[in-house]
This record gives sequence, structure tokens and C-alpha cells, in this order.
Amino acid sequence: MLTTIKTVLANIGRGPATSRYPFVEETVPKGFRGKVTYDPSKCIGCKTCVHVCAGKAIKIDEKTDCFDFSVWDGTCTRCQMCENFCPTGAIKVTEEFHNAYLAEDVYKKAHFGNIPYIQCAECKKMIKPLPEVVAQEKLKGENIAYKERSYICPDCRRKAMAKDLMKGLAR
Amino acid sequence: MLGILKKPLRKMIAGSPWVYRMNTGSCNGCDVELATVALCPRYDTSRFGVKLSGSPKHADIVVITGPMTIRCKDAAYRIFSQIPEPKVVMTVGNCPISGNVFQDSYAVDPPISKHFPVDVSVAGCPPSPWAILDGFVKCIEIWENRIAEKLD
Amino acid sequence: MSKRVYFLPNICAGCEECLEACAREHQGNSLDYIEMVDLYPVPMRCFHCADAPCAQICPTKSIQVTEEGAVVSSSEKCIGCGSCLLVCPFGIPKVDTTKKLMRKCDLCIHRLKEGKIPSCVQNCSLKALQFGDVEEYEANKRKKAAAKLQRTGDSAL
Repeated sequence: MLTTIKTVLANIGRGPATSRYPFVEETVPKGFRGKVTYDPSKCIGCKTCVHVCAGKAIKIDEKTDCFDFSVWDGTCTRCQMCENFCPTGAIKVTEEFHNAYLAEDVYKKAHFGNIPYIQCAECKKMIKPLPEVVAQEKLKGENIAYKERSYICPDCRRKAMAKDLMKGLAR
Repeated sequence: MLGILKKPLRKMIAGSPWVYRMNTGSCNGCDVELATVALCPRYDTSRFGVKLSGSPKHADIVVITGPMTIRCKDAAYRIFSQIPEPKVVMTVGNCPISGNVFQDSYAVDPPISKHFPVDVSVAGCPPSPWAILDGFVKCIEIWENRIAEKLD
Repeated sequence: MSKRVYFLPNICAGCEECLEACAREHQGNSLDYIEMVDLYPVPMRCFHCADAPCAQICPTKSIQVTEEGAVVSSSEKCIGCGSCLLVCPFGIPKVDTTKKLMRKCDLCIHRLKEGKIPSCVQNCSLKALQFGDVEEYEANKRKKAAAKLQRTGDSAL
């Protein structure tokens, strides 16, 4: 009998257990997997995320002078495989959990990104650019050879190197 | 005479929507989150007047989870037709929106909006209980408006 | 002091026997190129750079520099993202987007371990491709030039 009274008094002292959510802001534990965000300045268009997405939420649409990226919130399982496999860290999973929408709005909840191609300075073909951010982060040293040739496509780079070789060796 | 009573009547009727849960083939992840929201004192939806109802004939808010599996389509249509107007339909989870990971399966027929008219969708797999609470709050606003229309 | 494949200019006739030998050795497609510069054929393959930018940028660390000095990509770790093709100053890697793999000259590492020379060098019919130490070749050139200078007293070769 005494233990019951003690427990009851202790619980009254602790206050109500309910959290008054919509009127008070709540946070989720660290590491919670919420919505996905996308940074177009780091994307190289390798389509690894499209390959591993469990719910087929990611689409990359290659056009003639750019490619479009989209991820739809209504099918994203929040499995985090895209962030795990992205080579440059362009896709990240945030802790955003406010997901209740009116039914016609849920089809608009998608991230879009557009990455334009650059044009080869010699043959005018459209090539995918290597993002500046990625090059600065990963390449160490001067890398003059890459910087001189970063404006032309790989085929033209080979032709330029062949010309250089013949210039140095042939008489 | 009825005009003076409309405002307090509206508040009284809309103050306690009863919820009926329908599972059309879900993996039960979203149903487990619903159980914590509706029953657990931490989230406590009964402060909004929400209570789980045993029979579809007493339901005001219908909560649907799961992609519509072919096997339960008949039963789902039969039960949905017994829920009286006015009602608000809420779907919980990604499966009713698009089928999620089961999209290309021969046994499912998503989305639910093809079969029933949906008002509120809560995305996520499974959505956090805070998001389901947000969904309930949106449903209750729509519910009040529908009661007001009916009284007028 | 590591060995590379280098070519002697003005000897190559563009017969493409090296490309066929490379294809036979590597199950299907050849990993080398022959570029035409004003009617001269120039055989090209990976240069196996000492400070390879492809090895630095590879996100899965699939491209490594081995102890023989060759730059080799492992097919288990490669995800076919194409970063190495974007960063190579010479445009050498071949990226297969369906199989999601990158293939390039690997200096026939499996033949080097058995004591043989690379397949393209062995099959060159005109001996335009040589496999050896580039510094030895340059030292030989210097010796020949010094001998000629001594003989003729002529500074222009």
C-alpha cells in the first residue's frame, strides 16, 4: 500500500508525459533518416544513385545540352544507399521529418537539379564537365596537364597528345 | 432558430472524430507507428478528440496503409462503401502514394488515389509519429469544414 | 627506374596488329589507340603516370599504382562513374556505361609476373614498340649523340 502511494506521488511530481507537439517544436534523435537533398554543383552524372535506389525515386534524364536530376519524396524509402554510394557527396540525407501534405501536393514534392554540359573548344561536342569543387578537393599538386586540357573532350585530348609526341620525336 | 445553434453544434460534432484503420496489404511498419501515435501517452492524439473506432459504420476519418494488393481489393471496396458521408480519407506511408519498393510487382495496384478519393497523404517509410500527428491535425481542419458545409 | 612501352617514330605503319593482340589478350575490345597526325600513325596507350590524377580522383580507390609502376584499376571496386576519364589529360580510359566498368591498358601485369613482355610489344611486326626503361633509352641516345659529336665535331644532328 505504501509503495503504491509513493509511486503515485513520484509520478505526479514528474509531470505529464505528453509532449504538446504541434504547439511546441520537437526534434528527432541524431542520425534520423529524413528527406534527401541534392547539390548540383558536385554531381558528375554517373547514375550510381539511380542504380541503387530501392524505391526507384531518382531519375536522371540526359538531354542534348544538359541533364536533369529529380528525386521524388513520395517513393523515397530513406534507405540512405544513394548517399552511401555517391562518389562525390552530391546527395545527402537530412533529418527533415515534416512529411504530411494535402493529397494533390504530394506529387510536387520533388527536388530538381539541372547540370549544363560544356562544349569542347575544338570539336564542339557536348561533354559532361568535371565539377570544380570535386577537382579541388581530390587532386593534389599542380596538375598543369589536366588544367590545360580541361576545356576539350577526351578524343581531342588524345589527338593533342599525339601531335605533341610527334613534334618532340620526329625530325 | 437552428441558426443560433449552428456554431456550438459545429464545435461539438467536429470535436471528436473517430478513426477507422484499413490495412490494404501493408508490411505493418506504418501500422506500428500508428499504434504508438494513437495509444501511447507521449504523442497522445486523444487530446484532439481522436479515438479508434471498432466499426466502419461509426467512422469519421479513414486511415489507409499499404499498396492495394489484388487479393484484398474486393474486401476493401466493400468496407469502404459502408463508411457513411461525410468522411476524410488519410493515407499513411509511401505505399499508398506510389507503391514504394513494390511498384513493379504483379500483386499490387498502386496508387490508392486511383480507387478512393484521398485528402491527406503522409509520406515516409514509415513516417515519424510527429508527421502522423501533423496529418491528423490537417484532417481535423478538413473535417470541420465538411461538417460546416453539411450544416449549411 | 620502371619500364614502360614506348614507340620509335617513323617506323609505325598503322597495321593495327598491336590493337588485335591487345584485344586477344583482354577478352574482346582493345585497350589501345592509334591516332593519325598528318598521315603519321601514332600508337597510344595509358602513360602510367607516376602521380596519376586518375588514382587521386577515383572515389572508390579502385585505381592503384603497383610496385612495377603500372596504374591498374580493379574490376571489383570500379563503379564506372567516369571521373577518371574526365580528369585524364590524355583521354585514355574507356568507360563502358552498360557494364559500369572502366578499362584501360594495365601494362599486361599478368604477363609481367610470368617474365614475359606486354602483348602489343611482342606482336608488333615492325618492332616499332619497345618495352624498356625510358631512362636507358635516353642514355643510349645521349651516348650516340656524344659519339657523333666527337667524330664529326658537328653540334647539329
